[in-house]
Amino acid sequence: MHAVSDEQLIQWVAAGDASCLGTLFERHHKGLYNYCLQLTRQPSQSEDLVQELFLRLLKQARTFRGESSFKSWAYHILRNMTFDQLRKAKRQQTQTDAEALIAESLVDLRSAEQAAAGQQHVQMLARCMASLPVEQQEIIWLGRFEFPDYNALAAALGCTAATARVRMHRAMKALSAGFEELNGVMADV
Amino acid sequence: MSDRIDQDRDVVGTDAEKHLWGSLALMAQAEPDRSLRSRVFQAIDRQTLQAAGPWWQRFLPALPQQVATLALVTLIGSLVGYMVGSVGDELDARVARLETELSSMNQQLLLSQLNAASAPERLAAALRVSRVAQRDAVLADALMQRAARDPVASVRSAAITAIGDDINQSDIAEALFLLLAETDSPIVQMAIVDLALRHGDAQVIRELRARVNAQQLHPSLDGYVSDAIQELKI
Repeated sequence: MHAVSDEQLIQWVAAGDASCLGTLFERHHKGLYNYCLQLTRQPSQSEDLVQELFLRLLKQARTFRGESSFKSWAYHILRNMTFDQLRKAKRQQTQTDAEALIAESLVDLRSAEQAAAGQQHVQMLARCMASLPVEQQEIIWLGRFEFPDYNALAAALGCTAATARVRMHRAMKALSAGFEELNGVMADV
Repeated sequence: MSDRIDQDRDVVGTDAEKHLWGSLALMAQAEPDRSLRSRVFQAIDRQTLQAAGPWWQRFLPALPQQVATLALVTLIGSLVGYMVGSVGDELDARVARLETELSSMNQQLLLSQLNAASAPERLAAALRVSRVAQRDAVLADALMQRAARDPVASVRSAAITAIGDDINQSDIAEALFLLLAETDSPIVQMAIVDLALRHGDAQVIRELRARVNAQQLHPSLDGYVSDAIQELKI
């Protein structure tokens, strides 16, 4: 818990003190970046999106109405920006063809620490995550790392808590099935 | 039905699902490039200044603009008058005196801007001071006041940057390191660290390393400072 809440800080930004945005950046930039990276697989693109997000937050601070937490609001804006980028790049259309490459690149990005820790199953999990549709990767990532309850998760995704719950169930079933399948393949090898 | 995802039996109902959910947490989080922080802060500063109005309004606010214009007209008028009179040495002496007066007026203008009520105006003043080659004690003191007490972190950061080579003066270095220990703003800490690394002599760098060892820096700056000091090989 922080001494000054995110919501108070963004109100001060709206009142003209842009320096408070620096504190919000320190609190959230790593999570925002990793969320973006999970979806785009591009570190530099993810950094650009996070930078653009904070400029938007500066411009749109006055539109924050406190209906959700600042964090949910920021993730929702970043989500829209990221999906716009993905649509422009037509990533969805090429996903199947690039699936193997994507899975490899994700493992490459994170493999050093994991290999050192001997966490091969985590690498397999990363491969399974990368093979899921981007919406399923997104909800698992956000639910596991950023939003522990359905209400906050729903606010970030821009849907109802019931919808978020259903999407999470489906995504976890898909991940579980993929993981079991890959485990079986590894066991056969 | 619980709203918490990790208590949802449809997500973590079985042992296998619990294991999977636990394993997800082990997926490593990547670190964004170190330059992202400075890029974002610079972009925020640019945006703030743009929002404050056109550039000429920032650097020449209403009242000081009148003063500067008056000074310029006086200088040109004097020059023309004395050129017509062709009085040689006397002209040089008067021009030198006028230059001194103009320099003094400029300093008064900067001091006034550094203490302005508007944060963008104070920020613009701090940026201008950084381009002033020679500063007297009054201006240096005003800069330190901004660095230590301004309510806006961006202004504090700009004021710290403007201190430049003056960091090698022991009293200024001491004040800055005290500020480094007391501030909870990573922007301000980064400005002090950058200033020390760019302009500091060996004594300043040694002091900075001591602060790093004493864990007085924001955690995200520790690695940055250690790497930079390593590169300096001091």
